[in-house]
Amino acid sequence: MSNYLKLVNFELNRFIKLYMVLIGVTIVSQLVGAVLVSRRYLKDVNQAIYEDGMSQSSFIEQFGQFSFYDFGMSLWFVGPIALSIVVLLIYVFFIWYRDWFAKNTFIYRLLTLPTARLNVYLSKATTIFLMVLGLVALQLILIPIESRVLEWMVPLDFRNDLSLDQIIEQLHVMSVLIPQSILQFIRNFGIGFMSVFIVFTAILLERSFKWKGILLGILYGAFTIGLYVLPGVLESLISPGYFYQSEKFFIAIAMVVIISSLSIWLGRLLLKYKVTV
Amino acid sequence: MKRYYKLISLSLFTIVVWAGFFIPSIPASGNQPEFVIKTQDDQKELGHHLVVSGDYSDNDNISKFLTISEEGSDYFSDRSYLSQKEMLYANPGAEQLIKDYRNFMRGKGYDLKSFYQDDTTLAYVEIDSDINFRGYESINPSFQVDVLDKETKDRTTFELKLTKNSNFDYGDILFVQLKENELQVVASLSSFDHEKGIDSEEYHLFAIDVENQELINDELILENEENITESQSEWQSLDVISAETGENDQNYIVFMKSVQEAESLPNGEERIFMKDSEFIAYNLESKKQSKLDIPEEIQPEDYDDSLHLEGNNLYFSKLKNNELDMSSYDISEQTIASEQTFSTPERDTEESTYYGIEHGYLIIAGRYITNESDASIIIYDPKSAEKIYDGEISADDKMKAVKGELAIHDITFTVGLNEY
Repeated sequence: MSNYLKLVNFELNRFIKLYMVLIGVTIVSQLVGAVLVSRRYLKDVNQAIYEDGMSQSSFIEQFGQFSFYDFGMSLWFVGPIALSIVVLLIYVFFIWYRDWFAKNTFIYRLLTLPTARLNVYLSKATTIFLMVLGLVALQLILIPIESRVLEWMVPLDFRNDLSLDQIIEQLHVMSVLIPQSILQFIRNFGIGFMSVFIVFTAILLERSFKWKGILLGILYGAFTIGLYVLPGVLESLISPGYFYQSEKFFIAIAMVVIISSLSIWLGRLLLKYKVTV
Repeated sequence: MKRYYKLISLSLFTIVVWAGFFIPSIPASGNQPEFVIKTQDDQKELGHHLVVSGDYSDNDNISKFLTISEEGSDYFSDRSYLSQKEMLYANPGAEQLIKDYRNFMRGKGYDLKSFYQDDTTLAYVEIDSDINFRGYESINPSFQVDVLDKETKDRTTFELKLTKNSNFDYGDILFVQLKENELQVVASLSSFDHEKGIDSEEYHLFAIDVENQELINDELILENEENITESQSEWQSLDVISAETGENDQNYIVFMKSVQEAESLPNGEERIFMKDSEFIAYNLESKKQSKLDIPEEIQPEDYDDSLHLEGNNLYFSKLKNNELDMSSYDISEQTIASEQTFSTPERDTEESTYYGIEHGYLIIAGRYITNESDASIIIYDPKSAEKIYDGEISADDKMKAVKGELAIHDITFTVGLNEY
C-alpha cells in the first residue's frame, strides 16, 4: 500500500505544474468572465433604457432577466472546462508514453521497482481520477462564488438568481460532470473511469506487441464497448423493454465493474509477462 | 508526510467538497412550499384516497411537478434518482401495476387503455409491428396478448397475426375487456395515403378467444377520412369515450364524431369549439350500434367540455357562470336520466375551476393556489347530487413568502377506493 501511495504521489508531482495552470486558467477565466458578461448585459440595459427610451419592464419582457445561465453559456465559463477535458484526455495517453519516449526511458525504473507492477498501473489511474474529481470539485466551489459576483454586478430587478441545483440542471455540461445523486455519480464517473482502464490496457497491448499491439488495442476497445452494450442489445432483440430502468442501471454498473476488472487483470498480465523494456 | 502534502491536500479538498455536495442539508425541492389535503373528520375514508397532481412554479418560472395527499407533498425532484428514471410519476395506475405484478409488467407499455383488470384476472393487449424501410408503415402487425390469472399466477401469452387488416401505419388499443374467456378489444388503425393526402382511421372491435388463442371476430365499427392537403378552417374528428380502466364490466363504447373549428382569441390563444357532434353507442353485448339522439342543449360546445361514460350513463358537463351543469344520458333507455347543477368555488372562474369524474364521483376544485388563496376540493355523488366530501388544499408559510403558484392538473383516487 505504501508503495502504491508513493507512486500516486510521484505521478501527481509530475503533472502538478500543468494541473495548477489548469486550475489558474479556470479560476481567472470564469471570474473575469462573470464580470465581463454581466457588464455586457448592463451595457445593453443602459443603451435600451437611457438611449432608446425603453421601459425597464419592456426590456425584461423582450430580453429577459440575466441569470447564471447566460454566463454559463459563454466561452469564459465553458472554455476552461473544455480545455481541462482535452488536456486530461491527452494525459491519459501521455502518462504512459512519456515513460517510454521522454528524454530518459523512465519505464525502466518504474518496472524494476521493488513493488508489484500492478501498482504502477493503479497509481496512474488513481492520479487521473483524482485530478478529474479535483477539477470538478473546484467547479463546485467556483459556481457559488461566481453567482455572488453576478449578484454584485447586476441589480436585483434585472436578475434571476438560480440555485446550484438549477444551474446544474440548466447547463448540460454541468449536469454530466456534477451528478445530482450518488447513484448518478457512480454511473457517470464509473463509465469514465472504466474508459480510462480500457485505454490503459489498450496502451499496454500496444507496448507489448508493437504494431500488432495497435490492432489488438483497437480490437480490445471495440470488444469492451460491445460487451458494455451487449445486455441492451440482447434485450432489444429478445424482449424489448424487459428490464426496468432501475434494473438497467444496476446492469450498467455491473458491466462497468466487470469490464474494469477485466481491464485491470489484463493490464496486470501484460505488465508482468509481456511489456518489455 | 511533508512530501505528500500535495496529494493529501488535493485528496482532502476533493473529498470534503464532494461530501459537502452530496450530504443534503436541504432537499432538492429547497424552499418550495409544502401542500397538504385537509379533510374533515367524518370524511377521512374518502380523503385518505385522494391524490392531487400539479405543477408548482415561483420566481424562476420553472415548473416543479408534485403530488399532494393527506400525508403532504411529494415533489418529483425529491424522489430518488432511480425513481425519477422510471418516469412513472404521472401514471400512478401503471406504478401500482408494476408494484403488484412486476414480472407481468415487463416489456409492457404504460397506457392503461391496453389493460383490463378484475378480481381474478389481469389482461394486456398491444398491437405490435415492424416498421418498413420508409419508416412510417407498419408491416407484419400482430396482437400481443398476455393474460394473468391472479390466483394461480398462470400466464397465457400469445401472438395473433393481423392478416385481414394489415395495411395501416399505426395501430392503437383503445379499450380492452375480458368476458367469459373472450377478450373484446377496440382498436383504431390509422393510415395515410401519401399520394392523395388522405388520412384514414378505422375503429375495429376484435374478439379474441383466450383459451384457443385465436382471433374469432373483427368488426369495423366506424371509419373516418380526411384530406389534409386541402386547406381548412374546420376538420372532422372521431373520439372514443370509454370508462376509465377499472374492474367493472362495460356494456358500451361511445364514439363522438364531431366537426371542429379553431377560433383565435384576443389574447392570442386558440380555442377549439365543436360546430357539430354526433354520438354513436356500440353495445358490446349485442354487437349493435345506435346513434344517440342527444338534446342540443346538453351537447358539448367546446372541445374542453367534459364527457364521461359510467356504466350505461354518458355524462355531459359544462361550466358556465360559476356553475357546473351536468346531465347524464342513459344510453340503453335513450333518455336524459338526470340533470344537476353544482356550484363551483366562489371566487373561481371557468378557467380556474378543475372538474372531473373519477370512480363515479364528481370532483370540483379550484385549479390554482397562490400565496393569497387555498383551493377547495368538493366531491359529489352525481346521481343524487349529494355533497359527500368538502376539503381543501392548503400550503405552509413558505407559500406566503414567495409569489408562487400551484396549478392543479389532475385529481384522482389511489387504489383501494373500490373497496370504499
